[in-house]
Amino acid sequence: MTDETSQNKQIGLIHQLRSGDSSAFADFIARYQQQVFLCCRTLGLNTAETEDVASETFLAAYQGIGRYTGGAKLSTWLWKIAYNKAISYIRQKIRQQKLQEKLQNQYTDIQKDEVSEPSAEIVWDAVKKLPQDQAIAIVLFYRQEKSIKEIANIMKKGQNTVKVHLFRGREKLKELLGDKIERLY
Amino acid sequence: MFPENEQKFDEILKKSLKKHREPIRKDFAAELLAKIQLAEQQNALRKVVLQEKISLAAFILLPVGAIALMFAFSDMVVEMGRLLVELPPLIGQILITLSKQWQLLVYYTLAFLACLYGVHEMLRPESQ
Repeated sequence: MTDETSQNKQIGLIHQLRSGDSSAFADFIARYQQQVFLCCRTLGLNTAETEDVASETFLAAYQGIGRYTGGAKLSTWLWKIAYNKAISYIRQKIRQQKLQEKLQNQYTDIQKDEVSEPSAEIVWDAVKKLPQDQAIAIVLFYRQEKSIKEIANIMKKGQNTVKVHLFRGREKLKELLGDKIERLY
Repeated sequence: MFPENEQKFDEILKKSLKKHREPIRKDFAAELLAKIQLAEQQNALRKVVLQEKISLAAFILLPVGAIALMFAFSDMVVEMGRLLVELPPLIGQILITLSKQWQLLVYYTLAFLACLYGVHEMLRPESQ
């Protein structure tokens, strides 16, 4: 019942978005901005870069909503756009500035003015230390509860590759978190 | 790690990651909407300007093209003009001839209507 209601709501939202309703788009941003920001952050972008890429993502979604077929969930479709935008931004940056190492170091520059709980932050900090593909797979699987198929669709990778990323990411997280996690829970 | 610990680890991961919130400026959405509206306005303006340019170009180019064609194919233009002048009396003659053969016209019309009815019956959905 609730699934059906949320699906109907989503269909209604898509219709409103297609008709160019700006208040519907404001709702759309409010509903999905957290996920888009999270995607960019997981891929290692800093605050300013994340805002730029998130803006580009929402702009692309606004312009491309007419082409959304409904084959995948709206959130999966948006994650795919955000992932592609963030990856192309990173590639462009690496190509132009050759700062790949700096990009990885920027993980430590992220501000600590977040409202999350400290226990969540310990796990999040560990996730940020993972390689990009593993981190995004972990976030999509555990936080967004996406299926392997959906993650493969977002990352444009095979399902087996995603499983490998998940497995390796999870193993690394175990190493990184060690017994910190036992103490917290 | 034992299987139950593995499961616990997965649950901890899920819970912790779900608790995590990214800091987002409060005016991010408002700024983005303003940006989109501006882009929309610019697009609309660009479209209007393009339409104006096209109509202006057509307004200039079409008469010029017509004049150029008239010069390039003057013989053809003269011939067409002659045909146009001769056409009305020719149509009149055809109508007079046809009115004399009115029976033939009626037969053809009936035959055509019968064919039309046949096609309609053939293509009509069975449910109707």
